[in-house]
Amino acid sequence: MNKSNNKRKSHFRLFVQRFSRNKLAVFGLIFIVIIILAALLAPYIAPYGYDDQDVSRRLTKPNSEHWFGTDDLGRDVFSRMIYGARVSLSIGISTTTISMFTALIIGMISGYYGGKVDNIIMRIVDIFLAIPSILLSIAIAATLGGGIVSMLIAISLGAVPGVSRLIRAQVMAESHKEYIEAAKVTRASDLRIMFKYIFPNILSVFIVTFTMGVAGGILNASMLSFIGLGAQAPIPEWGAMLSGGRQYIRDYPYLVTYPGIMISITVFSINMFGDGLRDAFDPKLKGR
Amino acid sequence: MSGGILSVKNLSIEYRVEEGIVKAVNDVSFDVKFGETLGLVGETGAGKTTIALGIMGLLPIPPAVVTQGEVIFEGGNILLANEKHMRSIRGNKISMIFQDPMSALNPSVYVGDQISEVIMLHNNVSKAEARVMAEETLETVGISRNRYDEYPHKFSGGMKQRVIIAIALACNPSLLIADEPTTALDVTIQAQILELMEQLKEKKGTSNILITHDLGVIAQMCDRVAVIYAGEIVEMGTLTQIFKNTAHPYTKGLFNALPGSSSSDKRLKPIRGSMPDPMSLPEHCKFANRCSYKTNKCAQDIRLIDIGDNHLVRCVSPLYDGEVK
Amino acid sequence: MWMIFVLLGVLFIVFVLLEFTPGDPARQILGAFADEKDVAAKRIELGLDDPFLVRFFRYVYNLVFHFDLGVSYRTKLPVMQEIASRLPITMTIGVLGLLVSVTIGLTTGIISAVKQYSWLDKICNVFAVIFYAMPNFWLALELSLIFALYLKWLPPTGYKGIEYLILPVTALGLNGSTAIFRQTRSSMLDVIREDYIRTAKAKGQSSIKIILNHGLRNALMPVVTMVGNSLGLIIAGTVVIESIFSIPGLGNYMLQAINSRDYPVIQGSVFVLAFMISIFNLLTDIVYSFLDPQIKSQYQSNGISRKRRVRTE
Repeated sequence: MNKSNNKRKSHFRLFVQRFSRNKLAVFGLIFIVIIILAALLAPYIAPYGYDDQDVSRRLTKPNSEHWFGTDDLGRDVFSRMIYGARVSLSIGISTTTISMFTALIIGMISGYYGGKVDNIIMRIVDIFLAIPSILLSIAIAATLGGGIVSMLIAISLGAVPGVSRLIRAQVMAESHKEYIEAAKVTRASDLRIMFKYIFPNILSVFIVTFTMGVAGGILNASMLSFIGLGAQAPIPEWGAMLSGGRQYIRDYPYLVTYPGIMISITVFSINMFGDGLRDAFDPKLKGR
Repeated sequence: MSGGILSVKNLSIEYRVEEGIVKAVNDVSFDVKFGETLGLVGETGAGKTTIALGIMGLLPIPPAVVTQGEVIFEGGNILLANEKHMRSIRGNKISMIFQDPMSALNPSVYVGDQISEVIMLHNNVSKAEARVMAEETLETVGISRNRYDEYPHKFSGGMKQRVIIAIALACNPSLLIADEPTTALDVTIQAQILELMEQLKEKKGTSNILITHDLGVIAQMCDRVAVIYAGEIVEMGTLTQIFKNTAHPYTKGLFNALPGSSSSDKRLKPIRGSMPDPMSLPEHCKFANRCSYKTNKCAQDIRLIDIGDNHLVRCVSPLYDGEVK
Repeated sequence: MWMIFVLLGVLFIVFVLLEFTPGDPARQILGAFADEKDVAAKRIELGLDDPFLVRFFRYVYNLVFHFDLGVSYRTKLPVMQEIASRLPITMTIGVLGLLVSVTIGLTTGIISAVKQYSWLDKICNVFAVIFYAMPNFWLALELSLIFALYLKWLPPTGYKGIEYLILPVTALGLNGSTAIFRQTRSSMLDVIREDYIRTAKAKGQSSIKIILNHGLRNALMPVVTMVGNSLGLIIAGTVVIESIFSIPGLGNYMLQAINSRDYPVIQGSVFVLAFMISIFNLLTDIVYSFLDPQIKSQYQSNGISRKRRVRTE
């Protein structure tokens, strides 16, 4: 490799360079783009509607008319999976947005102020952490009666304790650095310090955690739907599709296999992308 | 020029990294005689540690590459030795201690056990026998044997370094390489450690390679000195020769840069400029761009010349060649 | 001790959740066709009209002193008994799953760290993400498909012997091993860079011994913490896994309760699971303090008071 004149390249280009060296991360990104496109263009590219039932054609194996076959109500599995991308992505992104920003506020306050405030907040968080987040989500979803809205709330709330801890740790580490002390001396308001100084420096961790959070959200959504607490019929959520196809698994395994593969590849791609982001942000941490 | 406990001949080491090739050590040769302390002095990044790691076979092999040279020890070139052979040498016949004592000890193992470990590695003794030997070694470095069963975090920096010396000398090596052993310590502790090393040297007759950037330490501890610059030896001789008959402008610069050396001046005299980039070393004298005595003759590849009594200099117009210039 | 406070807190949360649930417990117990008067009487009998805190403390009291978690809406049987009879199976699956996770995670993590950048490392990394990305219930279904339905090597459902546990434990174990793998690899990489590893090499110690004695001992600490966390995830996983393999454990019971809106059971199950996890976390902390020399020496000198160091990792 020639010695390039790094001073001329902006940080962004360096970042892109580092990212692109990671082939798996690039693959992840490509797949994510495909999924997003599929989700956005669903009505145009899906051959059938997600709820077009044709009972005379129920349970047909994959063929030229129905690429992934049909389910027990005669609906085209392929179309349902494309619409499912919409569902999963929107659930993943919305729950993660809510939980990340809630956790951000909690973590900021806890990490920046420290002392008693931190103590109290973290003790409460610890209590929530004693229940595994999935269990917590299940409990919340069950309480709220099931259905997509309760699932959204359940997943968002379930993720908040863990992420709060993470953000608090980052904020704490930054708060002790000297430039923050310097800012305090200039009597900048706390709010200003938090958002103008601390936040940009934890941004890379925030972004990576957000990405991984979307993946986790999709997984949790599929699990909740699978047990019946999430998306209800006829919404084509991948986990729900799995649940519906379960009883036919012996003779029609494609009903289970295809949605499962979709979930796996999507989560895998997001993860690889997130890993690539993390490495590109800080190459010194590479290999960890 | 051979004989002695260790003989390094024409050693060159490179680091091959993404950005290019770093020439860390360039055609270095020196001997260490029996019972003597050889000082390797130079700035940070001059290549001293790399030489030491090369001798010990501890270079990180990618990216480091030994491009040429031999290291003769006990009649053989240990650069060609296999790992098993090197392991029998390390800690046993040649020991090395490093700069930062704070992190050099395993935090979850008793201090005494860490000494026993090296004893048991190289001697066929039982755990109990090793313990007895380890306790003795502790006493030798000035630590009560009762502290055998304590964790490293209970020891201060100076005491940790004593433990590390104990580990290094437990098997009575014939050569000890010490890389900046006192740099991370307080001045008073520094003095204690150096004194300890002196005593041990006298008692056990170990030969030493002492790496440092501190001329005061050199003055106190060394019999002979090699001055390293940009991966090369630029001057080598006995302590007296180097200090009294300083020949290379760089060595002279080092002395001048010491506070208090020229009592008449009120300002410090650092050597202006900095070491050349090891990825693009010039073909000519590597000190030329910082040298106050530079002439046209310096634009060529400079070899080491003997200016009398085995005092070697890499300079076309040394500051001493029988008389001070 | 702190743990008690946490458990109380968990109970409180669970109880609060119950507050939000629709439906009238008295009516649930008596049935939809019961008489209004009977329902009102039942409400008084159960103390359902008392203020919130009173009811909460009554619940806690019942639990602590009488081991009473209430009565199931559906079966009218005491919740505690139902849970107690099913708990061992779930814990067995959970612990076995954890063992599999730890075994796979530790070994692959160490190999990956030691042979960093090699193809072995890359493959392990990719596999770790693959198994993380697969929802564990899907993995379970596919494994069941392959090994039980097609190859017929293992039984698909039920619980009549140890072999019935192989598939569920494998699914859980593979899924859980990813987190442990990641943490082990990360800690080992950190440790390998440490100076005392260099010292050990300079002593002439062999690589394997260095990894095991010097490396692992210090790398293990964060891994132990992670193992503690993992049990929580694995237990949560058993909920779904049990349902897939029709294993009569606590998870299955809880799921049925969710479907039939049997709230005392849901509440009780969540609490019991959280309780078991807390105990396990306590054990993990104890193991951790044996590994961390700074804490261990505090024990040796004090012996009495336990100074816990809160790790903010």
